[in-house]
Amino acid sequence: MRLRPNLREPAVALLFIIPAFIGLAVFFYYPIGQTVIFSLFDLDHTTDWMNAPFVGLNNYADVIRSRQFWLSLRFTLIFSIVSVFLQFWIGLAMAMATFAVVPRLRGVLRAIIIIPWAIPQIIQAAMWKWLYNTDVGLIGDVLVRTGLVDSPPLFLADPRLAMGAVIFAYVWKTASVTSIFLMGGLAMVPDHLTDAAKVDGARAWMRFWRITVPLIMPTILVTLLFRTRDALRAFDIIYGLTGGGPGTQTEVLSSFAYKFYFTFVEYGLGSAYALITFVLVMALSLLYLKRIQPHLRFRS
Amino acid sequence: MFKRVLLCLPVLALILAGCGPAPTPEVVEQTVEVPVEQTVEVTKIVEQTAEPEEKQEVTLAYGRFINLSFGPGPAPYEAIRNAVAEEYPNIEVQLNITPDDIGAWHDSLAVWISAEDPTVDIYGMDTPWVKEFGSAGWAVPLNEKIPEFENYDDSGLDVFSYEGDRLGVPVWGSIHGLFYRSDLLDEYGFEPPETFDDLVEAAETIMADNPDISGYVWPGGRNETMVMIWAALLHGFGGQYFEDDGSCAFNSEAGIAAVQFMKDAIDSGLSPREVTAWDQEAARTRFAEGDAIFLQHNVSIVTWLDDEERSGIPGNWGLTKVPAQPNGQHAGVTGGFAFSINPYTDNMDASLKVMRVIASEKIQKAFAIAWGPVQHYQGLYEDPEVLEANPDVDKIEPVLETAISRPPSEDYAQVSSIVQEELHSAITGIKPVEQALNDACSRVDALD
Repeated sequence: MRLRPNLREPAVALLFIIPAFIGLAVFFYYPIGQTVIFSLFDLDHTTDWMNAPFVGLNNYADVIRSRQFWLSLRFTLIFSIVSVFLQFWIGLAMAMATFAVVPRLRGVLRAIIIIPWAIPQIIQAAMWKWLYNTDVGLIGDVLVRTGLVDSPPLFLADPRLAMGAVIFAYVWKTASVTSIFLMGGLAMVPDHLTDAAKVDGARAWMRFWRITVPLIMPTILVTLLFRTRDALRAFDIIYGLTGGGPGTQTEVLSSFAYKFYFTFVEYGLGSAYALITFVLVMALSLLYLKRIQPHLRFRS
Repeated sequence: MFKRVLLCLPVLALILAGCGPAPTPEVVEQTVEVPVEQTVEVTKIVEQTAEPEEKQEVTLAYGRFINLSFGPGPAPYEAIRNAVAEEYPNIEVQLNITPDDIGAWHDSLAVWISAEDPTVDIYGMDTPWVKEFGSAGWAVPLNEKIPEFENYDDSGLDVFSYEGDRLGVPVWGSIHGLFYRSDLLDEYGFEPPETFDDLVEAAETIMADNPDISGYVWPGGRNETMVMIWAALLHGFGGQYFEDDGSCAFNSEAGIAAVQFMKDAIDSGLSPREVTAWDQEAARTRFAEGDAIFLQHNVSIVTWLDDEERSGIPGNWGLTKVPAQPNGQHAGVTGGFAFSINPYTDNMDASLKVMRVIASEKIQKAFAIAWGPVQHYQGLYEDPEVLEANPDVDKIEPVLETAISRPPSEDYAQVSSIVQEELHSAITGIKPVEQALNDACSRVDALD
């Protein structure tokens, strides 16, 4: 005998939604709600907001007034724009390369591309710290041996190099994720269109701009949305590599939130930092989404 | 079927009985009067179960170093565990390893304790955290609870006290001094430097003949040890942390001269340019490998600088006070760790028992043998075993009298962070020295 629960479609839908909703509520909405509450209180070395002085929006005002906030926002934006630009073009080149090679090598190439993505960020930070090390680092040693420099550069302590070194390490990892996103888009480009263009005499560059790019535009925009969002929130690899130095040259918004929250144990100010970062990421995401919508032509 | 179930029941009962903790049977003799036709006195043996003492776990939070010994004795954790097991068999000491990085160590404790989490019963507290933890009520006052304190030097206990409350049992202390290459100084006819000018003169003379050797090495990466180096130089050039009214004095004339000296040392090649990326380990490695003339460092390395397996300069080094200019003060910044009790522990009684064991002579001696000086238990350095494990302890004595603390503040974490950021900006050339120190002071003065 088969059991037939007497449920109508909306009730069944609700049943399926409940587990996901509980997960979201516990791990997403509750922490956000708590952060909002914390940000309105003067929580110095305590999380007991019920007995802490209510300060309204003062924590936000303190954040906005802080010079460190604007410096970290500046670096966060530079870091995000440069790293997303680089990871997009490198990722696209890698993705296209997997379609250009003989099918037998395609799997191997994709496996190689995916390796950096599989390494946790904090481990990558330790790895790059060694590579950049002035005394024993591989990169400095190669540069000296090839005669490009007299002594190994101070990649992480020289103000002129630290920003670039951090971005390079971050792009090394994230270009692979970008590439994976874009491979999906490239796989959707019908061969007959490019073949027809070839017959018509269109060169590779023309085929790329006139056929490939327009067809994968929805994928490109979604990829950029995700990659920008992650870049704005980047923390592990930067904190692990430079700790925000030299001076405060590589401080990002997330590292400030971390410091106020965990090092200074100022939960109110830390929450305000975290929420301002959250609002910035949300605003940019909405901007992207608005931009993406007209391009989603393949929707059912 | 029913019979089978009945047969199974005793077996099941036996299995279930075997699952619980076995009660300790105690055989006693009891005299019971049994009413029979004739009153006969018989002796019956009955089994009485005595409740075993409840097993308790006390968790220590400390860096992985507590599992290491640098001397001829066992690692401190092993010594504590064994001593506690011997004295209190029902208490088991567990270890929760904190991050190596001292900042991350602080952050872990701050999160646990501010959330009133009882995971950790006893934790390792660093000296600069005392004011912060004391004002937040994050450590149990131990004054009357540890009678062993009467055997300690007050100076050692004072470092871990807040407003009269003894907050920790000190286990290890350190102080910064200036290490030098005695062979090179002898060869070139220099005495250990008294002033920074002496240091520069000796280093430049020796470096002129030995271009591959570094003159003066120190950890200048953006971290806590750089703050310790700076603090010694600030006092050495005649500066102080705060004015009498409590306002920041890092940017005084002397303060600017101290940081300018650090920057000039890098720019002139007296210190290698890599110091701005170095932690303590990188700096001491350069010295221990024989590639530097002077090293400003914590004195704890005296325990192994003569060990040929670990050091390239056995017998060719000396230790002296950090230099001071004529108007300055020789200053060795202190550090050190104590064990404190989490006020939110669920095992207060057991934690106090463990703390008393840690405060005992036996465990303090174990720390002295495994980790070397400095401990504050009176008479410890008259013990032959301790002296054998610390043959160079007498070299530390002149440095001890130069002890100073780091900037005392309830917001020490923020003060340290500000100093790290601004000082690093100055020595890496991001900001002019004076501007960096002015910025540091305005930020420190703006703290509550």
